[in-house]
Amino acid sequence: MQPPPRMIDYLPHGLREIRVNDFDVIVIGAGHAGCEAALASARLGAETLLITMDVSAAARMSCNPAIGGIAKGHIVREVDALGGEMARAIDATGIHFRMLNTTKGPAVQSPRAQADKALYSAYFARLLANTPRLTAVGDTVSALLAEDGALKGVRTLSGSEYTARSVVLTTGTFLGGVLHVGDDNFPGGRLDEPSAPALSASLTALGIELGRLKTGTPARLLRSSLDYSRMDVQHPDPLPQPFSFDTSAIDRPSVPCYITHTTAETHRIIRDNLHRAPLYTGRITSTGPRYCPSIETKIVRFPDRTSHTVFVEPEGIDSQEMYPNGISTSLPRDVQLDMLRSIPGLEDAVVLKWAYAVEYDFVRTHQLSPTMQCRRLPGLFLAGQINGTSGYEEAAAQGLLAGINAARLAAAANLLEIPRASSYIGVLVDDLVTHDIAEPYRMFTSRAENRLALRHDNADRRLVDLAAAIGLLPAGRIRRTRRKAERFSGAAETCRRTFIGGRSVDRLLRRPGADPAEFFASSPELRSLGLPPNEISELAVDLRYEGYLKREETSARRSERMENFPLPAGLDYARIPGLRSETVEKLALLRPDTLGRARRVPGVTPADITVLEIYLQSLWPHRAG
Amino acid sequence: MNGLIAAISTVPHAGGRSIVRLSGPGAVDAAAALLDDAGAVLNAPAFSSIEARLDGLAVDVFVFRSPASYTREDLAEIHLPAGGHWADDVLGRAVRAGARLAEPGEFTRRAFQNGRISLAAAEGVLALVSARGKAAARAGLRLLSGHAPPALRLALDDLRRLHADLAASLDFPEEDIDIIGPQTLIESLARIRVLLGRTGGGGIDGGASVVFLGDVNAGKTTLFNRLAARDAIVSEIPGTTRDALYAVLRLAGRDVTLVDLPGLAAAGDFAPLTARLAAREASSADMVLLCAPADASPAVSVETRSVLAHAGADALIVVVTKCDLAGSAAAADSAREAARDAGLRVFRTVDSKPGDSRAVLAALTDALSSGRFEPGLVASVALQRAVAETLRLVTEASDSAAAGGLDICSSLLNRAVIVLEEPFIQGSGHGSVNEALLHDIFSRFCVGK
Repeated sequence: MQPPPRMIDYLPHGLREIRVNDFDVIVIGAGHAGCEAALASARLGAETLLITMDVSAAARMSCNPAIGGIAKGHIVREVDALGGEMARAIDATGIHFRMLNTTKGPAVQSPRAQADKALYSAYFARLLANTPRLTAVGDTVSALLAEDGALKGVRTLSGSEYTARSVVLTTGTFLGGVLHVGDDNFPGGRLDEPSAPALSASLTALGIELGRLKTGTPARLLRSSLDYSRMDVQHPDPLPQPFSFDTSAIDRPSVPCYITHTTAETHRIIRDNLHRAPLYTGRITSTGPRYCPSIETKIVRFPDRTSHTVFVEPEGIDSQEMYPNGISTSLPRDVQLDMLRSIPGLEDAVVLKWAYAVEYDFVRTHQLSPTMQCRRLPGLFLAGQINGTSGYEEAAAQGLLAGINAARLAAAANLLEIPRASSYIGVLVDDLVTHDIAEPYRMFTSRAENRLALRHDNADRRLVDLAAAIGLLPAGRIRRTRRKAERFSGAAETCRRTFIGGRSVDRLLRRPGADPAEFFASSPELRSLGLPPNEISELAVDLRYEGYLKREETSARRSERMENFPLPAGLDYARIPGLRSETVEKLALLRPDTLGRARRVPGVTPADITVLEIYLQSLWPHRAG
Repeated sequence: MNGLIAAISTVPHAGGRSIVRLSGPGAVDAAAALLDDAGAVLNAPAFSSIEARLDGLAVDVFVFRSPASYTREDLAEIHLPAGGHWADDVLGRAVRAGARLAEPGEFTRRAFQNGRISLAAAEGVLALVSARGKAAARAGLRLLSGHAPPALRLALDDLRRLHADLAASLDFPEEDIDIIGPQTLIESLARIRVLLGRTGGGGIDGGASVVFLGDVNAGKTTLFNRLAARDAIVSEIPGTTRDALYAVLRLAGRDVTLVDLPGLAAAGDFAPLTARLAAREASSADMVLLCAPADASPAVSVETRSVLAHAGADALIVVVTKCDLAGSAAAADSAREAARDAGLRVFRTVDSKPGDSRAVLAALTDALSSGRFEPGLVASVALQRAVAETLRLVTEASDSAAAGGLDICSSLLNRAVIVLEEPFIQGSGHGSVNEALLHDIFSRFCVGK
């Protein structure tokens, strides 16, 4: 697609009447999902329009001012391996980098970094303004336009209409958003930002089913009002591990984090005021995340705990705001203040922003296909919190895939899927389409059956073929990754054929306490490979895990025959004899496209799958016998 | 390998009746063709018994249509009023008409592969069929019902909990979940190895199973909870009935499974269903604990008596509960009479007050040590292999924990849980269980099962 220069590239943003209003792809919302989608789409050559309420609020972090963490760090690196932007952004703006789980084994180690929120947002705002074929406009989308059930485009509050082949919806918590602070509630998507009220009605009118979820965020405190001498200090890693495979080293200013904890007094205050918490007064009926609960939920659920940890995190190098991680709440303001003041170090805390909970609409995921396209309305793609996920990283991964496929649809190319076994992104998408999400979904390493194979440091090698097919990364980088992969397999082979003291090096490396650098230094054949130290340790991990990975692979292959066995779209589950009624309900709702996905639907038993297989074999006796 | 098979399902040349069984596509038509008049059977509904004639003699024909049959295929049984050469001849006719002679265990194998029963249950069928005594038969029946030997149940519970704790500590390193470190892992895994060792060597020690019977208000569940609190694991093996509660105790040097059946004698639509499950639990129990409240009359209801009639236990202990409310003599007599009517031997009668279960425990311990009561050993290849494989995985997991590879340890624990519960999962016939094992198991069957 070689576009001629367009008038729109020279018009200022936010203009009410733009002469050109037809695009290949429209992205709604410039959050973490929206930014990835818009950038990917434009970079793949599609004329992309990004419509968001406030262009300067691009990639704003509503909650935790951090990127990465267990399993999330893996996702960030996978996004990078496929050509997304998040990893580069955090490498450029991070202020406190740490590798987690360093003592627990390479497969569960994951990088995390505090971000300078303002710098992070500015990084994306700059990119949005300077990427060819990408136009960012400040406006609010009020409706999707469709004709005879086919998606045509969007209409905005200001009256403009835009048409496109694909639309990517990434509205985060803004769809029908309602904020709760104690007894007060008011419409809003984030504090100080309005909600998107009309769009939900438009979706419903098009036959799209919505659900409701909630999430919460703690107060923000004035940095100079806290007493850091009463808290423990947490220092960043001296040698930060970059997120992007393109970043060779990180040399940025950093700040420490602080650790304190709630006290018995804090708990008493909360307990005495539970009746004023919207969660318990019944004002909020939607479900929140189990593993990121409000502090009042923690108190109720773990009554024996005398204290809960609070991490006090800086929101930026120059920022006056500190983020107390672990005490999100929707209790009223006066209770919040008493509660904060009972925490060591926060006795004189000044609150810059009060904690609040936000309820929002999301699109139920049985309507989502593994390409991120909405089944009800082809051409519509959904990514991010609108699919019931929580976390910037989960949103970015979905946004990347949605943007790629939105551009491909507009170019009449086939859409791509990311296999479950290939990555945490694959696990994420597969889980979304096989579950009827009832609480906000977050990634954990435990969700991946083959987590030994999915390490953060091998994301580039794992995904190089998929990255090449996608086409976002420059050819040079693909080549470099392929050469690295060859280097590793060559080195592994050399290790198998090199003997020290009668034992092959790869066996020696598997012994506990083995130091790979030592072996490489002592053997001329290995030295001649010329591997840098970090690659030596990565290779050692590969070899150490080889046996376990082979085992995981064999058991995966045994069920491969079944994994991709396609299930016909119009299958009437109610007519299959021998299926339990609960299973019939679930499968009829989620409509998995393969037998493998059907097996992963919660509640479906192996007996049910056998019944399905027998039934399908009776329909097509010559298939997959 | 899914064609029509036929076999004689009764012991050849013995007894006054024999059964010719056919399973597979066309089974019902093939059975009909053997009869003098095919009509009644050809159009028989899904689940029916028909009186017909074969060679002029009256026979009973049972028709089961897929998937509501033992093998989940179409299945027909012709019950002949005699055995011997006539039965062989009828079988011969079936084979000449296109059926194949079934291999040993092939019906049960199809039941397993078609997801009707779990692998453990399949071995339970074999154990039942080849049992040489009541205790062995009961052990087989328990396997068929999906019960795990008690030590295995404990090991599985501990494994699951350990795996979950480790997974939580890996995924939430910064919460203050009680961090599970290598030392805890090694110690817990050592304990699990001991439990697995207790499941038996040459055969799987079925442990001893004690079922609590009695009416809803008999204080049975309270007593169960008191005894179970000593080792309070109430667990679920896939495939076991959810209407019962299970707990494992160690008494007199052996692992004992306590089974409580709440809801007996509950009125309403569900009563017949519960009674059937209760009857099955009762018939597979080695010992019965019959609870009769001192203050109720009758102390043992009609519903409980009818379940009692199914019990084949070697020993029964009468527990008169609520002795603080009334004298125990009447209830004790009533209960002993109910036991006698059911043909069960009363080992001891015990009075019990709320909060005091010592006398009951003593009675249980004495009964177990008395020698008159034999728990059953069952040779289960699937379980034995599962236990052996789990032991290997657990040892490896312990080694990797010691070496600091907690991620590998977690992956191994995951595998161990899957391996140990696999035999109990209904419908694992495809893909995961290997051919050699299946051949091993099913070849020990006799033909026709």
